Amino acid sequence: MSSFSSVLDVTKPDFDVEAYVVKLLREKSLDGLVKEEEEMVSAVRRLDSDVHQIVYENYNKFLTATNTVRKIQDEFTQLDSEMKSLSQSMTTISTLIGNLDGVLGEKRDDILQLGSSYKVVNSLKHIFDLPHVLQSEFDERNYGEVLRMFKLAEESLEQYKDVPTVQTVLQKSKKIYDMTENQLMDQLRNPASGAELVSEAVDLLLTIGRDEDEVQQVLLRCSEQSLREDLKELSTNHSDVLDLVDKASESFIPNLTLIATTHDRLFEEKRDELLAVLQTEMNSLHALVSKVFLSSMDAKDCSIVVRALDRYFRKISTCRHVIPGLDFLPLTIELINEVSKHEIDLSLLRIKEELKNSLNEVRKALINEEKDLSGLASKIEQVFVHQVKTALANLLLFTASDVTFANLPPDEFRQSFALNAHERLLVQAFHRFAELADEYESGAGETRFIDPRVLLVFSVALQHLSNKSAVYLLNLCREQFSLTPEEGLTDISVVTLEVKLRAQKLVRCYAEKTGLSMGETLVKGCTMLVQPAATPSAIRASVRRLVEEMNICDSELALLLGGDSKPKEARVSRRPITTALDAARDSLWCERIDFHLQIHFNRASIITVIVKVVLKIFIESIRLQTYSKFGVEQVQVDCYYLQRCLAALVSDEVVVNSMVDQALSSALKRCQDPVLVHPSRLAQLCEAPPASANRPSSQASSLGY
Amino acid sequence: MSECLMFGMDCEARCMTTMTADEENICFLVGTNNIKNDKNQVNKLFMDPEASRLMSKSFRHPAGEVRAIAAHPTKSTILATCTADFSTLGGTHSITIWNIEEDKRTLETVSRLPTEPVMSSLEWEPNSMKCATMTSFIPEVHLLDMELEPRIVQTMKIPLRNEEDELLSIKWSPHYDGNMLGVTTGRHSICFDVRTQSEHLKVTDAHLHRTISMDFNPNLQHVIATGGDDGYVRLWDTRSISTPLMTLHPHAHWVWSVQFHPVHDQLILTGGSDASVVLSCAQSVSSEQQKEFRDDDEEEEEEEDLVEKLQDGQLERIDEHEDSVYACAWSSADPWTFASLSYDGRMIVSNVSRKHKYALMQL
Repeated sequence: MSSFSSVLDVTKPDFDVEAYVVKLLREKSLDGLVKEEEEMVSAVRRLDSDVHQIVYENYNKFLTATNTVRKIQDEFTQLDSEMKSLSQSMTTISTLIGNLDGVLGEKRDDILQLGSSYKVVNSLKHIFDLPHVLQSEFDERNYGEVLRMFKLAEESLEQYKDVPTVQTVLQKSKKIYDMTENQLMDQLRNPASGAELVSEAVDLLLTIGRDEDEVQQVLLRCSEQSLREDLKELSTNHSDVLDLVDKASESFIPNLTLIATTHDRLFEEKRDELLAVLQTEMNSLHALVSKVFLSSMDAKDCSIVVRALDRYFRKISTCRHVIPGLDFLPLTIELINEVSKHEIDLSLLRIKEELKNSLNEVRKALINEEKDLSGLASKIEQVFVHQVKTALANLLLFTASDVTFANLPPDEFRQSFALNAHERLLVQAFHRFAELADEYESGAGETRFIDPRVLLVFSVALQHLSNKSAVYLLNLCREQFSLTPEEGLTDISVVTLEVKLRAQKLVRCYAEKTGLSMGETLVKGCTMLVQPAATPSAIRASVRRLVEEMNICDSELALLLGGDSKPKEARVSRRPITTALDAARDSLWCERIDFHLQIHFNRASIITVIVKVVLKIFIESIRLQTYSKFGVEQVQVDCYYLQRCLAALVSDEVVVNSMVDQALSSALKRCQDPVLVHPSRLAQLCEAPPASANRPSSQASSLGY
Repeated sequence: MSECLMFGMDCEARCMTTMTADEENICFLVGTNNIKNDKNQVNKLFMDPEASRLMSKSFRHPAGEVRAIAAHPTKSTILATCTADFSTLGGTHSITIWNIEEDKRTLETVSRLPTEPVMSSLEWEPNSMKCATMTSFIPEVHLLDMELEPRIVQTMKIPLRNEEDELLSIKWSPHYDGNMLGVTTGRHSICFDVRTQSEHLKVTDAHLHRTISMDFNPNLQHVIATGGDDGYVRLWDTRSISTPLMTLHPHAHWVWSVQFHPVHDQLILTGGSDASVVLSCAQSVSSEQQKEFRDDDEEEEEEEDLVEKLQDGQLERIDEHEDSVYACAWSSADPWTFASLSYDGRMIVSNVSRKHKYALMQL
């Protein structure tokens, strides 16, 4: 197959023209043949031109090569002539050398001697120059050079020390040498002057044979000294805690690290001693810093404290890496925890102070006849909420994202801090508030003589707080510090209950005090009424005044707590007591008056307590007297009037009825021969001067006793 | 309160005292206060030891109503009363010493001292055997020698701060050999040294409007308690009287009687016109607290496993009375029993509950 195809391939050597032609003729049509022919012709032409091209190119190259060869030939000829002249010059030189050798041969020894003398002179000059050289080297602080040169010189000059001049030189040099040594020691003693200098000094001192232990001791002692000085400077000269930390991180801590690195490089094996020294110094620093941190007295400085704390913490944690073995991180974390507690305590104090102030303001406002009690109450509440929020915001600084220690593992700082913020600050703040309420309730100090309305305002504030703001604040805190109830937090209800309890206590205290003050007029009225000369003609002024005061108080309460202050229409349907027998029988049915019922924060409930207290005072005063016939009549009239006016105010008029009955029956018991007024006359007497019955207080004062 | 016995009298009563001389039986004397002469009596109430019932023996009091009653410190048959009889015009009043005639069911007059005003308080001092008495609107305290008959031996003028102030109560201090007398007047409480008739000390403005009652701490001579119309009980250190040692608020109305426990001075019994009797604890300012302070160093560890200590504040409240409680007293025979008397004649004898008792004795 291949032989066959190669026969037909034009390019192959065994190409058979005959076969090819035969094949063409046999296979192709006429057109095909013509086309074949044309292709062949063009191929031949192309081949032809290619061959021409190749021939021309190669020819040109040949011509160039010929030229180059010719040039080389010319240069060789030139070189040949130059070599010839060189060989001639060489011959001349060798003859000249031969001549010179002969001339110099005799003087060689002299020249050698001259050279060595010159050397001796030179070194002598050097020796005499030595002090100057040393001095200049010393001046340029090349202490190493000084020492080296002196050592060299000393060795060689030792043998000539009998020669006086040499001796002086030696002495002078020695002096400089000593100076150098002292200078080095000084350098050593000032470890803050730089690690390079110190280590150089140590190296040199060691090379000149100073005792290693001694050098190390000096170094340590001096380090200690300088750190102490830094510390002293720090302790006396700082404006606030941030300033202190800044200054510490500029002087003390860098020095500390410097000393440590220097010492480490030089006396690796004596680390323990170094660490002991550093430890004590760090302890002092830490003590100082702690003291300053914990002596900050104003909760407002919290941001500064946090910043300082952050810086200190960073310094200490880098310190730990720079000086292995000196780890103050745990102590610092402890400090952070302590400082945070301290700040919490400060905030707490501040909250309490502010509360006290606002309560004092309320007192002042009430002295100045301030009428807007609810405004005052909400002010107290707001002060509390605001102060607590401010305190929480301050504490949030401790956990801000840019504060390094906030990113410590939660169990080292965050967790306990958050818990403290809730328990130690917030819950305690409520607790303090409650304590303050207790103080007011128990009448400690000057609060014994305060206006009872202060108590009312305070208790309303507490009540509002327990209803709404308390829950809000507790939740806010939990949110801000991402606390969950599982972490042993005080329950919200416990806190609100505590506050509610105080509100209740205070409002009771208010009601009692108000009642007592109102009752005083009655007591005085009763002691005057021992033996009236005639049957009563009107209601006593003190009783009228009591009713007026009660109405004022009622409208005040209505204004503060809402609810209608309009007295209900008094029901006169009740049958008044007319005989002593009635009284005795009625008192059998008397319900026990409970003075310890829960007080609700509405007008009626509070006024009921006041009325109870007042009526009880009335009863007590009556029982201390002994009445004549007319006295009892007067009491009866008063009782009737009180019943009519007070029953409308209270939530449950049974209380008033029963107490008024008790008053009357007490009066009956205190009379030898009681006779009661007829009911019709009672009504008549009560309405006799109807104008003044429900008048505002402006008229009351003119009535007098 | 489970351990609480009640006895009702059919007559109003304001004054009651423990039978000081009888240290065997729990026994109280109650004087009634009725304007009708014939009804008045002195009731001797005592515990039936077997049945644990309250028994009563009543003795007619023929001199009118009993305004104050005092038992003889050593003789259990002798008592004294301030009497007021309104049956005649203007009334006749006296201080009378009585002998209890157990069989006749009446009181036999031993001797009688007529007085111009009605005397409202009578306190018998066991050391000097003197009685102190006073009336509201005259600023004087009379000291009576009771040996044979009531005889005024000394009259002390009480300097009033305010013209309107009235004398409210008197009380002997158990210290100073019966020479220290406490008087409450107006808002103040004053202690008098009867030997020099001078004011020993004065607690001013102890309460809101009036200081109704006071008592001396039996163990600490510098501590007194006052009860006021504001429902508060305040304990005062007489060495610094500007602020109270402790403030309690046991009542919602006037505190008519305040009594230290004769031994455990942290217990304070009060009765008030809010018809309740309250037993409060003032542990932190009592003599036992101070003892603990002293022992603190040695016994610190023991302290911790002590049985729960009593907390300051209210321990028990008795709400069984229906009217104002005017008198309450500790029994002289049983340290854990106390009695209270309300106006409607109801007498209640109760015990300190076992829990508190054990806590007190630190068992």
